Amino acid sequence: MSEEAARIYDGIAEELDKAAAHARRTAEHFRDGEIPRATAHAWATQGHVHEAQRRLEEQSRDHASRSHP
Amino acid sequence: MNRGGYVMQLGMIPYREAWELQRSLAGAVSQGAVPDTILLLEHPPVVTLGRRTDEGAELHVPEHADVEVVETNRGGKSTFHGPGQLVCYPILDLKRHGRDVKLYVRNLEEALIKTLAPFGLTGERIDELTGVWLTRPPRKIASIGVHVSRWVTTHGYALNVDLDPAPFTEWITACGLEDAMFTTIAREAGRPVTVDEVRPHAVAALEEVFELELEELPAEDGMGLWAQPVHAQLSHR
Repeated sequence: MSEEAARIYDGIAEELDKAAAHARRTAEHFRDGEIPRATAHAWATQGHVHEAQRRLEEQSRDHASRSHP
Repeated sequence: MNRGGYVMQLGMIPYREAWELQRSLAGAVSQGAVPDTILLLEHPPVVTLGRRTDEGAELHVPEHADVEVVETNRGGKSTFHGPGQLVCYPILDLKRHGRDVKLYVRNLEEALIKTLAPFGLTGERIDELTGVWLTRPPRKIASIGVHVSRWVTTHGYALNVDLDPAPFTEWITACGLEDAMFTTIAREAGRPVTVDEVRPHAVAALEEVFELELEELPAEDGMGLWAQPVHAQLSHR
């Protein structure tokens, strides 16, 4: 169970690492005046953040379904 | 009614960066975070290998050649990309376009045939050979290689606009085709043709074939980002 949860959070961390990498490329390309290229990386950032968020929400729903307050 | 989508003109961009972008954007399209998005660009010289490439038989890049070689996850065999070639990577959710990979490839061929027409060129399909050809004698003018995951497409087509086609035969046996001839729009039209001149025809053809209304992102500073609700509205149109 703990290992399964750990793997899920490893996956979320990977998505956020990718998001951070794309955000840095976005900044770099905006500074170079390469707007469409910057935008493409910005959208890629959004994609990874969305995916991380989706996985976190899935985990939250799972936790909620197991809790008995 | 046509669906909304975006087209991004990325200019000259290294292959690996474009590939990483495609994979990430495919994730965003798959989640509905952004609508169908088409990337148009050129690559610095690069040889790419598809899933069906036979490296021993197809790859004979001279040692002095200044070219990167990249293994990819697209279908097909080896090909060459370089400046003067219009590369198109549609990131489409095929759940909105028929859920049929063969149909998708035929549609890419159709879009290429329509793109060539304004230049007085009649592109054709040849049975069993993906891509677009001019015939009598057969000479390949555009290559296609795609990847589809969770019905979202990556990779796409490369249309030879104005470049030296020698690498297709001298550096590799492109597409695994021995003795095949490769040509360009400029060579066939008998005049210089730029990628900029071809791009609007490519966009119009993609809009028609995929029933999309493509919005081009402005290149001016500060205009490149849209608020998220706009993406959501477009992706659900």
